[in-house]
Amino acid sequence: MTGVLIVGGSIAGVRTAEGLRRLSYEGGITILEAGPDLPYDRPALSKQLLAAGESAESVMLRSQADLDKAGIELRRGCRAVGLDVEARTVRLADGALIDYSDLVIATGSAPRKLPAAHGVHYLRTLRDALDLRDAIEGPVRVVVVGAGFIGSEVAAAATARSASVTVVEPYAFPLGRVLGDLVGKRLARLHESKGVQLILGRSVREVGADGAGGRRVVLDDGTTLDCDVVVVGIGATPRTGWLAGSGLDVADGVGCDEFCHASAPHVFAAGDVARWPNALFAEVMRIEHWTNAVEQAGVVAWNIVHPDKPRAYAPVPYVWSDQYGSRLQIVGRPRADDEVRIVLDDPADGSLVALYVRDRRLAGAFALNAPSQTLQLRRALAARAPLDEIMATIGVEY
Amino acid sequence: MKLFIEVEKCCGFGECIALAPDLFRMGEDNRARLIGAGTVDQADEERARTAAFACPAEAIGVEE
Ligand SMILES: Cc1cc2nc3c(=O)[nH]c(=O)nc-3n(C[C@H](O)[C@H](O)[C@H](O)COP(=O)(O)OP(=O)(O)OC[C@H]3O[C@@H](n4cnc5c(N)ncnc54)[C@H](O)[C@@H]3O)c2cc1C
Ligand code: SF4
Repeated sequence: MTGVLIVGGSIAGVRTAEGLRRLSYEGGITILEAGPDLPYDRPALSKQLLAAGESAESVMLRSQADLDKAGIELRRGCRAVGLDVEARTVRLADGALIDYSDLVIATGSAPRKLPAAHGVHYLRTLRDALDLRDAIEGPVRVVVVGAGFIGSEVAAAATARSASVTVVEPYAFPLGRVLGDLVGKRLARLHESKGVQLILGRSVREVGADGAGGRRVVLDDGTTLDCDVVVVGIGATPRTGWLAGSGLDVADGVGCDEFCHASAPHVFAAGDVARWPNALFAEVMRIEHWTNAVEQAGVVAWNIVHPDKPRAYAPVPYVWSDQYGSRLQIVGRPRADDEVRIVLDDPADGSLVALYVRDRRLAGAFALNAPSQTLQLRRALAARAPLDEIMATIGVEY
Repeated sequence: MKLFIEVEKCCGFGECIALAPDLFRMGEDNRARLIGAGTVDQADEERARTAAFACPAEAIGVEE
């Protein structure tokens, strides 16, 4: 086969394929996808599907007919197990070799596993979400391990479905490791106001059976929590196992240059699996967010079609999360050790905007129920506008 | 050509508004809205399509 071979048939892979067609690429496009499903909306799994109880059909992104029409061949249930960058071939589980003129690695990430935990749920795939939804039906007791985005969304969804929820988080506050204590405290209040019990500053030693058909969670201080369902959301790791021995740099995801070009000719990476230097922030990044996968796929498609005038990938990172009817948004690269300036805090509608300042520049921002400010800050970050200009236009300084 | 937004999908990223501020605006509920009825003049069609494709949440639809 000559043409573009894409490994991973989720958002980064599918968007790369469609981006190629939009740029009038006429060669063959094949996507290898290990899973059984057509591409679906992953963020919706912990939102619409789990919280709002929508159907599996409603989270599907493309039909077979859509792919056919675009001339994209998606091979489901087809796992790549090896790559030879000299011969330019990808090996499948059955030993078959597929060659490529350009390769796009879009294998995403997989949930980090909690050691010594048995009978717990993770949330990554459609199957995971449907299983979890069945498990949290009715007045069950749920323990969520990790108060990151996924843990927090699961806690919110389970609460909305009348489960009683306890969240265990090793850090002092939800998302505190990234956003610091000021914002973390606010998020803790958001959970607690909905009746969720937070156990902060504690980690889980093991999860086993409670002897009565349920689960028993043992914390590092010996406390035990008996419950019906345990959900673990403690981060993700890039899926690069299949690239072992390829010679590619896969230290933390697939190492790329600013054009998303990996360390071998005609090999690119996009989405959760890609690590690259973002010139806008002068920082090497690997971003596990939906919008990043979409934007990066667009740049990879461009750079495949236009190798003579490649585009550097230098986005403003963005992530949103919906919890308890509130919308959280993060733009840029906030860090817990930045100087945090609150520029909006309205108890009436629960809106909050926090700016993260580093070296006298805006590094990032967190917003709760404040979409127009987020838009404005995203633009300011893209332009790397000076801090006083941003402070003057965003509102009151205090 | 006509645009529509599946409002519940919108993630508030604002890409549509950045690309076509004359066609999209941000609603009070953190979700994007169309300005007007969503009918697009011929001259603006390509821009509208670009905005729809750029939407990471795939919330913007196009009826030809
Ligand atoms: C429950 C949940 C909620 C989320 N919510 C948000 C949110 O609100 N906002 C946000 O910005 N982000 C969110 N994310 C993160 C977002 O979904 C990811 O950033 C995004 O899916 C990354 O897309 P991707 O295509 O790079 O990788 P993935 O979506 O991980 O897809 C990788 C694909 O590659 C396939 N694959 C892996 N290895 C192989 C192989 N060897 N051969 C063939 N195929 C392979 C996998 O089966 C998978 O389909 C959420 C994630 C989850 C799990
Ligand atoms: S681009 Fe899409 S997700 Fe972003 S604001 Fe517009 S409609 Fe919403």
